[in-house]
Amino acid sequence: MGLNTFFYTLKQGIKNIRRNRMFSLASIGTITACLFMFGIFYFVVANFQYMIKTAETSVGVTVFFDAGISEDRINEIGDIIKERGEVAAVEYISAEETWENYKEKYLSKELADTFGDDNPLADSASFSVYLNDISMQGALVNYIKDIDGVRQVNHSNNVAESLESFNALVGYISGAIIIILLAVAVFLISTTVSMGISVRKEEIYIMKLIGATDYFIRAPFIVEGIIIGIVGALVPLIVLYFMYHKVISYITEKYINIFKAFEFLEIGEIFKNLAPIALLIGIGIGFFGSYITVRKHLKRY
Amino acid sequence: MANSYDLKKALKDIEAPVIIFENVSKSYQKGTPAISNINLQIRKGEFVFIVGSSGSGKSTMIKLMLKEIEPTSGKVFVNYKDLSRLKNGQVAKYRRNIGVVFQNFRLLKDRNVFENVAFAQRVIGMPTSTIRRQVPAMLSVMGLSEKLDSLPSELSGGEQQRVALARALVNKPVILLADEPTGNLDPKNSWDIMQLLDEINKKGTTVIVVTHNQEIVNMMQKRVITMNNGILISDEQKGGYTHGT
Repeated sequence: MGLNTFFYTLKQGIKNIRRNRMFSLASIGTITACLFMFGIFYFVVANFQYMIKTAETSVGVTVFFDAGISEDRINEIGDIIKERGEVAAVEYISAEETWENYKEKYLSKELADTFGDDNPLADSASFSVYLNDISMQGALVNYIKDIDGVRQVNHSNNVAESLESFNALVGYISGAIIIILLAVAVFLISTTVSMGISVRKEEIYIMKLIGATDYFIRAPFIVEGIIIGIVGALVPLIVLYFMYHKVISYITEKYINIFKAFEFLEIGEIFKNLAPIALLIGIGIGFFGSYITVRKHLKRY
Repeated sequence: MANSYDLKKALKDIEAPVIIFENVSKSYQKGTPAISNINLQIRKGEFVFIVGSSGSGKSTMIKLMLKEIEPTSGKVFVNYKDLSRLKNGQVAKYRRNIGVVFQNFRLLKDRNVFENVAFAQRVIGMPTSTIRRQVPAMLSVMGLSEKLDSLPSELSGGEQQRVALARALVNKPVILLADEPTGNLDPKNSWDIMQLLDEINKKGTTVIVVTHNQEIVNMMQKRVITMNNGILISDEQKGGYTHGT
């Protein structure tokens, strides 16, 4: 495409949008709404995943050993566990530490003193195993149970599963809403482009008779769709950018007790992925919506 | 002089026809055919009138030459090309060698005279520098140098048709098809347009004019092809408007 043709196509695309102002605005509005919702869901899902990741490191599996096991064997078991890819860290807690912790947490000083030097939890040395991927917890537990010298493995299955399933639920709901909005956006772009085609019917007919190629006739309508898509993506991105900080600080202030333990993602970290995804979706639906319409309405010769 | 004229004529005679209709029929639906078994040859540089009443098949012939429609049977050759063999992608390029003007001018109402003519060059990707040079030159030939910035609504019917002619000719087509070019014009403007078409023809462009205008056909003394109910009923050199059509 020559530079002249490129600018001509671009100019005509913009002209189409201006001629069909109301429909173009409706299309931009729908894509904006769609990508705004997408952005909100993305914020929630990304932050939630970030929280899960943080939480995962604190959700551990506790491994107890057979009575009378040697220290060497305990070390060997520790090494076997560390070899697993999903294991982030293994922490050894001796029987003495366990007893000290227990006394501190549950017994009064007087009652604790009655035990003297005896350690009723003598066989309670353990490993606390932390995972880097909570979904692997079940497999890891089964693996550790089979290791020779391991008496018992305790794990908090509920926490892991509920975190995962809640995250999946948010994903499914947001996915469904976004798909519906995308379909509406494609439909509206298609209507806008159809209007543009019917307004320019005479011009298109003359173009064909003068010898304009199909490509030349169709390109301004595709450009129209893509411009609508880009504007429809930029508007929510700008709004979301300025909104994010305010919402996060509002939430943390208002619900300080619930969220004090959580850390939210930095805006830069979120937009690194969200901006290109939103732009691609905007351009994609703009292109797709106009392309199918142009193919339907502008028959080849 | 006589010898050189004869030589030119002889050369013209042996030149392959630029338009050929070979047993062409076209039916739109199951009803009567729009044209039936037309055989016709038009040589390069000819000026031809196609006359006939409404529904005689004149416009169908124009549409076939533009490859807007396909014949039901037979073959159409234009500018040494078998139109049935042209692929979709080749049609645009093919049409660049054919200029068209219509009864209702078909100008773009929201663009001025310059832009209407420039449009024909823009759609085929002509550089802006060429457009800026060639469009005013063509409009000057049509006597419209003073009207470059006018909108079609600000022009008379004759002026609008001259803009349409400029648009049809700016890309230097081999053939000019004029479908009722004087249908919306008064006798004076009609005659002016015919004189312009004659001049264009004298410069080498093959001109085919579909018309109802009996007076003009009789005055021009050109080849006249007469259609009636889809059938070619007469083809006369230096003919006139046949009675009963």
